Formats: sequence, C-alpha cells, structure tokens
Amino acid sequence: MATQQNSGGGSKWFYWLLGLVVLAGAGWLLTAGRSSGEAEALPPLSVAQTTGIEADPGAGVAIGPEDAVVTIYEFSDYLCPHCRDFNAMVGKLLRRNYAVPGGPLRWVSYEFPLGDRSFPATVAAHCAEDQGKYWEMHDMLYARVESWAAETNPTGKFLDLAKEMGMDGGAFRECLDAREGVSQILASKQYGVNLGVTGTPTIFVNGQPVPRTNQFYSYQGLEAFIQQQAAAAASGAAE
Amino acid sequence: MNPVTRYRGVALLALVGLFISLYLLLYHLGFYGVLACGSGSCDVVQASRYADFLGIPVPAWGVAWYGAVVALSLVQQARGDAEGLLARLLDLAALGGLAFSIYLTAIELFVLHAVCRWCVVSAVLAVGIFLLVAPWTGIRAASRRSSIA
Repeated sequence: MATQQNSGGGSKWFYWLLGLVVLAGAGWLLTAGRSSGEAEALPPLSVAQTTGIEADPGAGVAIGPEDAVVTIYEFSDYLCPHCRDFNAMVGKLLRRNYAVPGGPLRWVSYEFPLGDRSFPATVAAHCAEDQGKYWEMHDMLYARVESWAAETNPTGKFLDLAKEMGMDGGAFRECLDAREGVSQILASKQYGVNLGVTGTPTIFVNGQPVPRTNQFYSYQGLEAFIQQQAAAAASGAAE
Repeated sequence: MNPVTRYRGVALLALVGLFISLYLLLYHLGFYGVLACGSGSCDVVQASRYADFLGIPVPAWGVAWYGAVVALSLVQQARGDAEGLLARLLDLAALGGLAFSIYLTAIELFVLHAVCRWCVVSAVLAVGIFLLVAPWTGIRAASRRSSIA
C-alpha cells in the first residue's frame, strides 16, 4: 500500500516541488552573493603603485605618516564579526608594526555602521578620539564586543571601557550624551557609499578597492605588499 | 496523514532550512559582506559568543542537521513506512533540533535581547519538522504499550 502511494502520481509532484525548492534556494544564494561577486571581479593589486582615489581627510581617523608609501582605508562596523577578526589579526598588528613615525604605512579608519545598533559604538570611538585614544577604543570595542553588543543602552559599558583605558570619564560621558562626532560618522559612511562600499570590512590599498576574498585581507599579504613598496621607494631614493 | 506525506513534508521543510543555514554559514565565512536581516538584529546575534556552539559556528550545525534530516526523510518517504533504524534516527534528530531551537531562541530573548529573523524562521521549521515526525513516535509508543498490555 505504502509502495503504491510512493510510486503513484504523488511522487511526481513531490520531486518537482523538491527540484523547485533546490533551484529557488540555489538562485537565492547566488543572488545574495552578487555584491561580493562584483568586488571579486575587480583586478588584483599589483606591486606597482596604483592610481589613488581622493581621500576625504575630514571623515576618517588616520595613523601613520602622511607621506607613507602605502595608504590603507578601512571601512568597518563594530558589530561585524569579520571586522573584529580582521582588526585582531591584521589591522591592529600592521598599525603597530608599520604605521609608526617614518614608517611605510598610513592607516585611515572610516566608520561604516551597518545598522542602528552599531552606531553608538562609533560615537564612543570618536569621543575617545577627543582624548587621543581613538585607536585604543577602536581595538577595545572589537575585543569587548560581547560586553556591550546586547545592551539596549550601552553607554555604561562604553564608560567602563573608557575608565579602564584611563580616560576622563566625565568628559567622555558628556561627549556620548551630546552625540558628538555624529556628523563625521555620517560623512564617513557617505564617503564609503560614494566609493561603492557595500559591506564590511572593505579596504582600499593605495586607492584601489580590494576584493574581500583577496589575499590582501591577510596579515602576510598586506605585509609583503608594504615591504615591497618600502623597498621600491628606498631603492628609488638611492638612485 | 500517511507516513509518505509526512516525510515529504519534512524533506521540504528541511530543504528550506538547509538553504537558510548555508546562507548564514557563507556569511560567517565572509562570502557575503552584509547580512540581509530586515528589521531583525542579526548583527548582534552573529557577533555574540553564542554564534558558536562547541567551537563550531551555529550555521554549520544547521547545515549538518538539516542535511541529515533531508537525507533521512527522503529515504523514509521512498521506503513508505515509519519503521526501522533510520526512522528512529529521524525521530531523535527532530527532537534534538527542537531542543536546540528552544535553547537558541531563549538565548536571543533572555540573554541577548536581540532576535535574528533567520533564527526565527529556522526555529519555526524545526517545530514543523518535529510536529510532522512526532505523531508517529507517539502512535508507535502507544501501540507497543497496548501490545505489551
């Protein structure tokens, strides 16, 4: 009886329906990946200096010499897990090792909050900038994301982080309450939108957008590029 | 509803869940820059420490679970009955999936205070799969009890 049910016309509609679900699902996965697919189609970076885009110095926060041979723009969101990984394994280390006085790297951080929940963290980072602690707060917000991400009002958590970093808690709180830096954050995001940024993290190396699946999102890949550029600049200066 | 129809329903629901899990896993692996989440708080959920379970991303568990349920239900619908080892495995999988979904939903509601739309859809699918599988477990248990009596 059961076998008859299985071999009858019911089987046909079931397998048709199954096939339709598979096709719809596969189509959805491919369509959802279209934005990153466009990025992958861009040509890879070459060792040679590339033509740079115009930076917006008013929106980003920079570290490293202005005349560095390599400039990296990073668009990131504090609630994006890939940005946290990228910051911990790539950005933080590169800045420490190369974005130093006389060094070959200039790193410019542009806030690109993907949603309302990550917006307060960008304000906290810019309030820390007022006290010269932007990069410390930048790293701390990623490292301690679990402490504030689930909070409806994370102000208290940000204040705890600021005090832990030795900042003036009163001034920091006033800055948070006044939502200072909002115009800079909005300008930063708009700058990213203008450049075609659709997701985070997105980096531009010497003005050229880098596909997210590219080797340049690894420490080794970026370090090799920085060292090559520095060596090329040094040999050019010697000649 | 006969077992063939029930297992076909399970296969279709699990297939939808499989694609949702694949989408979330691909996002987790960095293939998609932005997670389509509508009005939900997927970013909060994905950034939390509960995004991993036993060191493995939750979406990877979802892919494995939904994949297993699809395979088992397809075999069972082809067999046309609700008996045998594979049917028992499917019963267990449905129960485990329901329990895990309740755990994840509780974390979202009471710990993170953030709800991810895809997690809600997955939880609904897990409940649907359990409801389609569960009645056969109850009927079998009842028939065994009556035969023993």
